[in-house]
Amino acid sequence: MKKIATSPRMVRAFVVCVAAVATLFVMAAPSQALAPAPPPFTTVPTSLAGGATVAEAGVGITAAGLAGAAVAVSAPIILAGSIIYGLHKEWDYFHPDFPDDPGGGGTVFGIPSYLQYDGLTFTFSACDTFYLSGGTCTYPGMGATDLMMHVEKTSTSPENHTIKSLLYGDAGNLIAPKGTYTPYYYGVPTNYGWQTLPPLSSGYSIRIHDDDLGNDVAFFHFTGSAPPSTATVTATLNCDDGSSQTVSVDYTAADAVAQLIAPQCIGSAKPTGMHIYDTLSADPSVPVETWTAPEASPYPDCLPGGSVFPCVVRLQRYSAEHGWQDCATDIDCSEFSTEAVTDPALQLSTQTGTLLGAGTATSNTYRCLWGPHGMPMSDCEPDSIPKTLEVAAPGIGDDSLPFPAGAGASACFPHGWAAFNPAEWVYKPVLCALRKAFIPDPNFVKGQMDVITEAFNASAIGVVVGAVDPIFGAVGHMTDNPSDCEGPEFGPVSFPGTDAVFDIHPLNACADLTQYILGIAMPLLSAFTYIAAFIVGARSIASSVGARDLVPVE
Amino acid sequence: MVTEGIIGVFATVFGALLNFLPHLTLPSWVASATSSIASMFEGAGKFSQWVPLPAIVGGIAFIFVCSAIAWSIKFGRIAVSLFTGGGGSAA
Repeated sequence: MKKIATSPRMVRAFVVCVAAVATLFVMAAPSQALAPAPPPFTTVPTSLAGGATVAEAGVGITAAGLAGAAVAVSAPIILAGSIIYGLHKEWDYFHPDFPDDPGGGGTVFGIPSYLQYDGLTFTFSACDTFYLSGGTCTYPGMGATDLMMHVEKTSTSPENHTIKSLLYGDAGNLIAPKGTYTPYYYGVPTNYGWQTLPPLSSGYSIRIHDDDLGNDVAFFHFTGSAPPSTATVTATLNCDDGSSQTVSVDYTAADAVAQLIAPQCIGSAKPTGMHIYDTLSADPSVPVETWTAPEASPYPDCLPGGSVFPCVVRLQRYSAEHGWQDCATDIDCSEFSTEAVTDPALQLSTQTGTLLGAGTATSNTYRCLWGPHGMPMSDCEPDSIPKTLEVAAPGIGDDSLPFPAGAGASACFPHGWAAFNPAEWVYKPVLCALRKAFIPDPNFVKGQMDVITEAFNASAIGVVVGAVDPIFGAVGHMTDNPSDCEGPEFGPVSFPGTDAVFDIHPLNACADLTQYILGIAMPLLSAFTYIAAFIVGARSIASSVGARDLVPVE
Repeated sequence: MVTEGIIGVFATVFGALLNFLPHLTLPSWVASATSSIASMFEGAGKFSQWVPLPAIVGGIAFIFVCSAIAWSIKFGRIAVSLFTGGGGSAA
């Protein structure tokens, strides 16, 4: 019988292994200290982030990115090319619900449901009248690279069809695409999966053949056209004085998003609404985003188009010496808690952020602002609101450094009674000089890191890393997020003699007894796995130092 | 200023080195392949109620680290053994 025995060599290898792992941790430690980046200021107070007040806070159109100073309008269509597609009816039998439209219409055939290109889904909704009458339907912006077609049966209709072939190619020169096509049957939804169709010089033709009907069901024809070089996003802001302000920006295929600076009303005019147009939308005259300002808002200047838009949430602390200072930027507020400021005398005006009660601001008085407006303290409670100097400016507020905390010239020279201490006139200025010389500006460091990151992402290594990133993400998700107890789904299966169709979960572990047993078994299995991994790892290290029998097996 | 200067020099040099690397456009099938592999891992995650996936992934990672350390030691010993008066055979 084999057994595991200890030996001096095993102990030696164990020590080497532990030391190696510890070394890795020590090497990793400095990078951990530099890694945390300051979280962005929350743009909208949490008390406004819900219900009707969301639009009031200007985030009702965050899809268009209006929460920030630079409005990011997602480029809806890749400008790599353009395809005009048409659908040609080749056979008399042509069901009006074909092809199925996920956004409306019927779900009888389910083939093809829609086309997808570069992750963008194109339905046939714009061609409703077309595919019944014939003609040409245009979708601008589809690129002539990879066209993916999702063939899926989506209903259990009584139609009994077997699609046996799907051909594509240049018009008049159809070839079979890669992949095989499983017939779909009544009562059994079948996903035919994605088929990647390589680009063709003169467009695509797709023919779907139905054996049961003995004829082609449909024939698509796609022809390429010159791609547009640029597109334009336009934001039109309407103001209550009757004026409107318009800002436009061009973007190309190289732009991930179109950066659009939000327009502002002039003078005391208040915004009433905004429309955003995109020349690449199906109908450029129809806004892709519409925002309407609430009629009565206590925060009009924080709304898009307002004089102080965009507003950020800031926590401030009062001191007799400096007055109100921004936490994390000018002063450390890590001891802030909402309980400390529940004194009614210290409640703030929601209009000006000033004290409403008879209380007097002290060094322990905080206030929470959104732009110039006082907000409930709970809005400043989330961790996303910077409170500590370490978070806001890594390195500067590090307690391990003998530099004076708190920015400003006054921190570099003695004041108060300290002004009478000659040493203070040397100590503080020298510390400030050293700080200026050796503590880098976080914004500078971030800028340099951005440059390197951009260069890395553009390099071959970055491209490869980006390509495999989804795999690591999936592995992380696999280990971090235990699936629901139902386990994998198989099916659908049907029982003979019935029309019933089921999805089955043969590894269902939801039962209490199963959970109880797994609660005991899984830790044991985990422990066994860790021990086995340790033995294998320790043996590999032992072999490298000549201790081949780290874990003798007799 | 001093640290910023050093960081700026390093960033410039490192960025220039990265720019010297060839630019690569991966074929579309790579995205499909990685997506398929990712889907495979996502599918494997559905067995997490029955299989100690975190322990398995952690164990495999540990073995990889130990193997990397072992090979580093071995190559180090081989390198040192090339010089007279130091090292021994790592064969």
